[in-house]
Amino acid sequence: MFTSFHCFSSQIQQPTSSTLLAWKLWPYQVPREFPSTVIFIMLTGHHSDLESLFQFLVVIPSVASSAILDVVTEGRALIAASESGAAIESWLNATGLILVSLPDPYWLVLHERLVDTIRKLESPWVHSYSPLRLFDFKAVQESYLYSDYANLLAITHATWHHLGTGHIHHILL
Amino acid sequence: MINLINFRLVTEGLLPIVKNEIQFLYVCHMIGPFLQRFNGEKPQMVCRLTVALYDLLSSVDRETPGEEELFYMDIFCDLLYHIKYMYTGDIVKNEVETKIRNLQRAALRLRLRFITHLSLEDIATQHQQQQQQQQQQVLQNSIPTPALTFISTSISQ
Repeated sequence: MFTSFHCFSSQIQQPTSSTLLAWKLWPYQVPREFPSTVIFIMLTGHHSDLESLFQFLVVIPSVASSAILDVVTEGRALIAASESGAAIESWLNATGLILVSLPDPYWLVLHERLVDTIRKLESPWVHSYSPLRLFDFKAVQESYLYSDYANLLAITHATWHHLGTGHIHHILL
Repeated sequence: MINLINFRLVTEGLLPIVKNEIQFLYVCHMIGPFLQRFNGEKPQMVCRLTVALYDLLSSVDRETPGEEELFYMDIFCDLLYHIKYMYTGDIVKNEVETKIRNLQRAALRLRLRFITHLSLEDIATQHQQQQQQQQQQVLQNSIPTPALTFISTSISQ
């Protein structure tokens, strides 16, 4: 997603009349979180016809939040290697903040991931470290291990930490 | 695809799938740090969460074969006692009591006896009863009863 923005920025054009028309004809309320993104795409004039504009913008929540989660889960190794130890907490915290500031369906994808992970744990334990060690984020971090379980726990805690009182009932009514 | 909007993570998502103690350990890691906050904002929820934790424990106890020992039993019991003494007290006692009594393992019942005020004798007698039942079952299985009845009926005829 970020790379595609990068190539847009090299091709910035003046807004054409058709993109301005698109802006006026926009039938939905623009999400509060993305005003600058929407305007940016429109001003680039890359998507001159309405249809492709809709296709680009309307991404279903599960896809969008999976991409956000993947920034930390997939890029975790890179983050730890290139930055100091404290940075990963900031990344996790930022992920949690972004997910919670979006509407409910976005951050609820996290719960789907939790269920998947716990279902995966049903098979016999094959790792050479004990579960207590692999679930401990700090221990994993300090011993340069990589554990999906600890990562997911960390993101979950970051997200739940920023949840408002009205959202807690999703965990258990 | 789960309907995420009305999806309750612990009761609907996790209760049906938690079957071994490592899964339960993960759930404890997940929920544990937030008990303090839940207790401040929604004390009722901590009670329901506790009952759900006992449900999870009993499903782990049921699904794990009887001869296998639960390796992380002490950690679970520590957490449950922590919840009792810090948050719930005796509020959930009645709901939880039957769940603890129905646990398959005597070792678990022994460790959780102060939550339900089970006396040592109760546990011992329950244990003896269970063993007797098991022995009876073994005896019943070893005797081929249908064959005996068949012979006895043929003799009487």
